[in-house]
Amino acid sequence: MGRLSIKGHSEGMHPGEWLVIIDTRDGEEELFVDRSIVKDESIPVGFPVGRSNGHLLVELPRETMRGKWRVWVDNGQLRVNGA
Amino acid sequence: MILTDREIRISLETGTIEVDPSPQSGAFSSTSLDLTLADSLSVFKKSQPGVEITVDPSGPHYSFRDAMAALSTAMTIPEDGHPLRPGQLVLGWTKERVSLKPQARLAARVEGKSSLARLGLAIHVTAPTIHAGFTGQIQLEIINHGPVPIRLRPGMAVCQLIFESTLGVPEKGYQGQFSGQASLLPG
Repeated sequence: MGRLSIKGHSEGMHPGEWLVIIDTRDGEEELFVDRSIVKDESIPVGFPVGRSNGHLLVELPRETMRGKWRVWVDNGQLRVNGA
Repeated sequence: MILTDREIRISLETGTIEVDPSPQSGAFSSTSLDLTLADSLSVFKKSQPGVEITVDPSGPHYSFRDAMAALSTAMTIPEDGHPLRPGQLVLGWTKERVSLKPQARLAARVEGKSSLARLGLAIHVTAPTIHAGFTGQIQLEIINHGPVPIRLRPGMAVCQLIFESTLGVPEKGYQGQFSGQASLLPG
């Protein structure tokens, strides 16, 4: 399973969540996630669901505040166990 | 297919569904599980007469965080509750943290309770889906459609979760086409 590096995180709207920022091919995205899933500045995204020209398509654990579930990220942002 | 109370209990016992704190016996119905309201709310500020504010969620410089900082304030519900005015929208969360394992072939929907719906209380705004792999406290968009204030209290049974089995495992939970590819960094 894959973990996606995040650019940073800050307080969420509820004490149990963080607002995380991730870099994508198309710009920054922000999403709220449960604090328990942020580890070593990364979040779980499962296995990638597509790839193209050095980028991977991953599904985020929550919908971003711009309404995206799947985003293209740089290949190096993802760590995959069991691949 | 919707899971019955028996199947929900089995899933809780086997860990394919996690609910923390564990639900009381009275939280189950034949095909749903009641969840309760946490004590945190995000309350939208009252608009000021003569001041027009527009949110542009698909605009190039939109930031939800900045928008909410300008439009809302966080509060803890006092012991005697928070009266939700008619027409008022607040964001709340379930007290329970819910986790659906990505490979568990399960998703869920959060829905209102008929007892509260009769008073005009809605707990989501057209976004009830809890996707496979979800972990966290569920955010609720709570709005009072009724004619009189409704008092929100921490711990009240505010919504119900309906679990559904999915046909297959989502792509993100399936190693599939990326199996054995050395270009992906080892974890």
